[in-house]
Amino acid sequence: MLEIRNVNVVYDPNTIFRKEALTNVSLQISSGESIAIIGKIGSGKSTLIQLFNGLVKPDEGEVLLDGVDINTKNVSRKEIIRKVGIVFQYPEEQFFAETVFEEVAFGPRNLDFSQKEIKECVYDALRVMGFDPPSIIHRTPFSLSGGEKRRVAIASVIAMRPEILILDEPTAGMDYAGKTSVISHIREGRTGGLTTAFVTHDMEEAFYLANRIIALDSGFIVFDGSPEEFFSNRNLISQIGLEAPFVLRFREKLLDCLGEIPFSKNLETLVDLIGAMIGH
Amino acid sequence: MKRGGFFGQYQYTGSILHRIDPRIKILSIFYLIIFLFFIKSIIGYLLVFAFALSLIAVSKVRLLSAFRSLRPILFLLLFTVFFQLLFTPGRILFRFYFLKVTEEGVNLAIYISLRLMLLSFFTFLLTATTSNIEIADGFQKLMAPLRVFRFPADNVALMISISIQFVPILFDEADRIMKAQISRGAEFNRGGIIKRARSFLPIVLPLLLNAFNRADQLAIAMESRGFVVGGKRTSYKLMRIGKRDVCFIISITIASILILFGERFL
Repeated sequence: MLEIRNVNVVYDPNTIFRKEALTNVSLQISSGESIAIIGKIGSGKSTLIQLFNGLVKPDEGEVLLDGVDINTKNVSRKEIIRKVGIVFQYPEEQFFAETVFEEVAFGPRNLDFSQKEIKECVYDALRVMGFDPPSIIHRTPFSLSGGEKRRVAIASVIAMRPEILILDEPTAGMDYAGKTSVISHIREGRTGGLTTAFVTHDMEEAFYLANRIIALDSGFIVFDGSPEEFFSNRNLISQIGLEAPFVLRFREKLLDCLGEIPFSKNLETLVDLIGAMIGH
Repeated sequence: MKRGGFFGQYQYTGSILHRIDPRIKILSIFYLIIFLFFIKSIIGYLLVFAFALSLIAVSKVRLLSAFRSLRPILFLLLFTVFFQLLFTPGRILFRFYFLKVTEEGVNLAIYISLRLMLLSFFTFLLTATTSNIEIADGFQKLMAPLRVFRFPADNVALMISISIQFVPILFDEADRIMKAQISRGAEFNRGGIIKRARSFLPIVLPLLLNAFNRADQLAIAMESRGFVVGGKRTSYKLMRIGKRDVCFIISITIASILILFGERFL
């Protein structure tokens, strides 16, 4: 569906600010996947996601969407934007409309959807993000709570009916309640068949929300595989300056004293399994 | 891939011009800009042009970037040339319906466009060889004597310095908002003037709101670290005028005198 082939991105070449943001990056995103893109600040995560809809052009290599290079002249920009929706960091900072409806309708309207379609898309997107549309569409987006604002901002991209939804740190700077609500609604969106890729620094989020992890370090892809495989590689985790989720660290500590421990992503299930193992 | 930059952009090359005291550079550029208005002939402008090019060569910054710095004033340049050419009275060179091009108009158009170009070159030289912080510090020191007249020099300097430091941040923010709105299908170069102006609303409005929020946060952060309006302040970096700076002043003065002589006798 979306493929990146041998991409290199260099910022400000021939200047003292030259930075190799991505080096020889290749990956494929297939329908229905949920991918967590992780790595330190400056590792190339944001550049990578901006490649997906052509906001950043590669210096070398290709970005193929359904087999077509999106950086060639005869490709429709609108079509790419419609297919690959990107939610940037702190998306609520991009609000400008007077009502939630207008804010969410901005994308579909730009993509020349009909009035009927716009209304449908706005209502559907707001429902996916856990709102009751009639009770919120007339409110000003600026009066909402932090979590609500973030969900409206994500809805404003979902309303364009993208095939792939890319989120850059969707829960950054949020309180626990807001975070849980955003995660649960992204998960619901996923069960509806939406392909998602999200940048995150929260390893719990990556572990529970993703079925594939792509780890970046200094512009290179250093890992591309399942969360279980990634988090069992202690050396790699410490090499890129991260920490395994609590449930895995807890299991590892027990592993040291008990020898063999069953595996579960869920803390309660893990405790039950260990309890059964030691005879409680 | 090239990242969008702030106009003038500082280019560090380690040249002698980079190491000159920012106060001297600011005053010299002001002097050269005023000096431009005393030039009355094409020869004089060409001499100043050659002088500007030699300064660029000394600064070791890329010549092409100096010409690129003309891009923002290109419209103003063309607009001025157009009006001077067509609306200056004098000896008619040729006529096209009701439009008349006069000899005086051609001369004035050349003079003014050369003056604007040189003005842009000199300010480019300042911004390419002096970092934003150095410029702000330079202004602060230059305004210090005005305190005698109860002019709030420190506060004005602080405002200038904060504004200058905010410019790249706001540029980054504008870029981020623009990318976000483009990702929602926004287009900024479609339709007539009114439609285009309206299409910038989704960028300008969030940018202003965020700027106000940032300013508010900055004010709170400064106050919480003991900032008091009108308080006495010292500098971390002390500026001292050395031999190099004196040599620079002398060379600028000699060059300008030579240009005036050259204009008269060539």
